[in-house]
Amino acid sequence: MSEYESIKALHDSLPPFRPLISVALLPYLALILLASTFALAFYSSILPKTTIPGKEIPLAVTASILGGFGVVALFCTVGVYV
Amino acid sequence: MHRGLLNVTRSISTAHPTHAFVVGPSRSIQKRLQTRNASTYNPLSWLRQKLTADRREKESKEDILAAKAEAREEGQLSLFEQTKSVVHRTETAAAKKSSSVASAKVEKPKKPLPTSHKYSTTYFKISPRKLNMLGNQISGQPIDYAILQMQFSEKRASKRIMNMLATAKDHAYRYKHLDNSKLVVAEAWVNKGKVLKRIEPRGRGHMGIRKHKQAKMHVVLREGKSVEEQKEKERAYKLKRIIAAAAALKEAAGVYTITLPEYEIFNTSWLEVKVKGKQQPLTVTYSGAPAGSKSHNLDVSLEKPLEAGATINLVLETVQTHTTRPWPQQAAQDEDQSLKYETSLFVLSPYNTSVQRTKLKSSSPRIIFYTTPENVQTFTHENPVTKSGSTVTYGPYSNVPPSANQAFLDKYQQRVVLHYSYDYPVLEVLKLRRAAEISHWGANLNIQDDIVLHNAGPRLNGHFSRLQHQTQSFYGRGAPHVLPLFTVQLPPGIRNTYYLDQIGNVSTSHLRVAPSVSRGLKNTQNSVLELKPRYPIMGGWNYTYTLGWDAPLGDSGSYDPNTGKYIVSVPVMTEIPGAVVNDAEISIILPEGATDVDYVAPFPALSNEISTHVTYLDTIGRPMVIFKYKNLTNKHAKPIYVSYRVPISAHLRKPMAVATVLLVLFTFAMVARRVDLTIHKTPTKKM
Repeated sequence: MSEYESIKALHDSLPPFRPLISVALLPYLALILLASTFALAFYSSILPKTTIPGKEIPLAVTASILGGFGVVALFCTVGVYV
Repeated sequence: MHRGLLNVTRSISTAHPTHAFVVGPSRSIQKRLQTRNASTYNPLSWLRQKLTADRREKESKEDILAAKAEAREEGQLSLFEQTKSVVHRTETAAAKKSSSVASAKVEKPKKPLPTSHKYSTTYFKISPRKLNMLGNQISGQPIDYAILQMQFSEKRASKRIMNMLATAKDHAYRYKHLDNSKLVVAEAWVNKGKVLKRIEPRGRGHMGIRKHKQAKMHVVLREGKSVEEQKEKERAYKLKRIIAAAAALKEAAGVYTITLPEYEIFNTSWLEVKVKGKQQPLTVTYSGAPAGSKSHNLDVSLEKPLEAGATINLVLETVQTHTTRPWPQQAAQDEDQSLKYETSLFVLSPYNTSVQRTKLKSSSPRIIFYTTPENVQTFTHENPVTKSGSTVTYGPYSNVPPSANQAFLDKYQQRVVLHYSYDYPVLEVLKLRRAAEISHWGANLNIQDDIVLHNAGPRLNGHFSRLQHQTQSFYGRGAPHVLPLFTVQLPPGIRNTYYLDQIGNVSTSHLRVAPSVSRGLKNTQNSVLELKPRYPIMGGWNYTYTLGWDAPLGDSGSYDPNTGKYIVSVPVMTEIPGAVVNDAEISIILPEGATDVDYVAPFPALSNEISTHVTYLDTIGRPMVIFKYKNLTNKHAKPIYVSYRVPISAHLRKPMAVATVLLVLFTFAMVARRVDLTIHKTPTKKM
């Protein structure tokens, strides 16, 4: 019982949880990130076909990273809190 | 007037009669009778009577006695002879023996010696209030002291009282044989006498009345204790107290044992012992069951041991589940609902009980039946049970010996049944599955309850008539065992609430959301949800539904920067008023990659486990802590605290997972771009 009381007191005294990225920003972030992902993907599709995809790989990497964050933000925006 | 008769009797009883009188009316009466009528007056007969002797037959004494003896034998004795004659006090013993009427020689019981003497003044002219002042002065004092005070008192009545007291003392010594040196005025009171009213002229021609009051004083003299006797009595009293204190001083109690019968302790789902008035509950430990009796002991440890002779007020509060049952077990749609509750009459206790009272309070004063206990005459002389409003009181029973043994139980313990009307539906949640999902990306705590609700009232007898139900609800005369809707209190600041049942979304409900309250501040308002099921839940019916909502994680989660741990509080259940939860399973789903998972529950669970839960965008799955409970009541709606750590790398796992998938797609796209799938025309060879 005292353990419960102590953790209760601790919980009440600590600062509240704050996410890394504020929730209010997430919809805008989702939009921006997904739009940029789309743009980058589009641009990478226009690039001339070379044997070694010199420019395409970094583009793909950035696009996927941005897309990853964008999809997570999208999920949170629509209410599926992942 | 009675002289004549006395003369007559004397003549019979005395041994030596002086004249030979004949039994008859006396001479004077005779004379009066004779001279009444003038025609009876005859001078010649007068002369004759004077001169001649009485020629009436004069019987001698022996003849008279012989005649009487003969009459006695025949049973013809006159009334005067049969009854016992008045025996004169100065009669000698010989005369007593020879008297014809023998007094019955009955052995009289010995009269007790007098212990007090009552004496009074006569009524004299004094106001009773003034006389009472003297009465108060002498009351309780030794007689000589009282006489002395009266001798030197300035009051008008003091001389009279003094004389009265002196006479009373003398009489007490002389007639009641009381000891003069011990006499005490035990009681002294004043009586009012007649009031003589006199006219008194007042001013302006008015007349007033003067009241001449009269009073008298009674005193009762008794033998009091001498100085030595009083000292002895005080010494004995003090000695007894010292001995008792010394005996008790050996044991100052630090532990109080409560005994509960078996059926009661198995039904108890919440128990708390507190000192009355204090908030902090005391520690209760289970200390086994005494052999033979079907009861269990609980030891309550007091904060500091109780001194001998001191008192303490302990309050044991328990919540019992599944102890009432509907009686009758079936009810039609418009009938009343009544429940039956059984308990035992005497409270079990290993200690002596000086007073015991059991009060059964129901929610309505309509109590149909309560048992009248028998065989409790040793504990109470009044009514063993009384009903007042909605409370039935068994008791008070005094001086109950230790009741936690089989001998007492066999002799006195009885079942007590209370059959009462109950005006609210009796609800039971058969199964509760609560899933709490913590999301760090969305800073959200989603709580979802899957509930199977059961109406544990009397089973519905007959058909359910929708028309009758509508009529009842329209006129506001719903039957007490029907549940059309119920209200639950949800946490403040919730959003995206959903209420579904097995068919789909239920739209007949109202939600009023209270504004979000940050942690640490006292929560004054809860969100109120009026749940109206698809159909009214009649007695014996079940209803399965799902209720869920999202709440900001900041309201229930906190971060400890020192240890890097997150602490989240998840309530065990939302209280459905009046319902008991038979079976509950609470799962708390932590973010992916949470480590150092620790939890503290407000009351120990039946079982705990940590498993993995996989949901959207998960790669390794999330840790899930599961708590299983049974028989939860409204006292159990407390939060569970879970603490865990989430490193940033785990936090980034999700976007990285999605990024990986996208990268795979991009790679596939890159490869696909370079793969030539066009159908080329092969150059045909010329023949």
